[in-house]
Amino acid sequence: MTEHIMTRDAGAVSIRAFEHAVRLGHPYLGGEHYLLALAAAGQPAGAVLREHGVTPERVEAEIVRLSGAGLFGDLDRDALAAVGIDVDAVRAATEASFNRATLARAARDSHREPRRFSPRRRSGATRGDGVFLPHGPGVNQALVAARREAGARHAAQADVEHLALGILAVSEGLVPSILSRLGTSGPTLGTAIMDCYPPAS
Amino acid sequence: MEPVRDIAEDAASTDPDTGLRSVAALRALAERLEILQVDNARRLGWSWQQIAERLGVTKQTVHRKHGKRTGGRP
Repeated sequence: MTEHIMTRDAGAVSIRAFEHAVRLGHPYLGGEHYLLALAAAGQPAGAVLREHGVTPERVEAEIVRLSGAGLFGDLDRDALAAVGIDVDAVRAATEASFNRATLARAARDSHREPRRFSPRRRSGATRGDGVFLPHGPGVNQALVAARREAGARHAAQADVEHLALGILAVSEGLVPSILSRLGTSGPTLGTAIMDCYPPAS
Repeated sequence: MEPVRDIAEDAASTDPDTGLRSVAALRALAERLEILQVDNARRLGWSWQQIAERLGVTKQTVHRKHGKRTGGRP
């Protein structure tokens, strides 16, 4: 997908973002999954995020809160509660019987026809085993911005910090809400990340 | 989970908004569980016929719905 336009480190972050999306049972690859992967990254950009309270644990908690997770995350909880069904009890029962990979696969299959994105949005990422996830809102924009950030700093490939700057600049999707809930913002973090890296010469 | 009798009472709500939303949500829940259970049954080597019998539908129906996804051995 993005091997030659990204450094090995940035590519590894992208792969982890993809794995997060699969693990959470989300039928798309969103900026929030990149943010989660970046928050755990060993590079200075990851450290800056964590110093500002954007830790993997907190990002994941916000993702789950905002979009739900897994096979039952997007069901109408109130409507099911009205007929006496506790979605958390159903989730607990299935999680006790089935392993995570099985549940994640079923979750992905149950969203085979993504409804939240227009059908013409076909860009996305494909994993080695052929699993395809369409990009969520703002991800294309973020990847273009990452390449632009790299170019502006005379880098041949987008590195982790460029990817971070791209993802943080996105105005669509869940990233702005997550950052706001964690008491920070894309521009604040972007400035802090740029301060960590030597200016372009 | 609540006893079946309570569920029946709630599902019989005379407020259409509550009642219809609950029916739609139950259907969505059943769909998710069906995917999970059919995939598991196929992995354990169950035939489409065996799965269809338990679901109370025809073999063709279950194969058409799940065959492509789970890799359609007969």
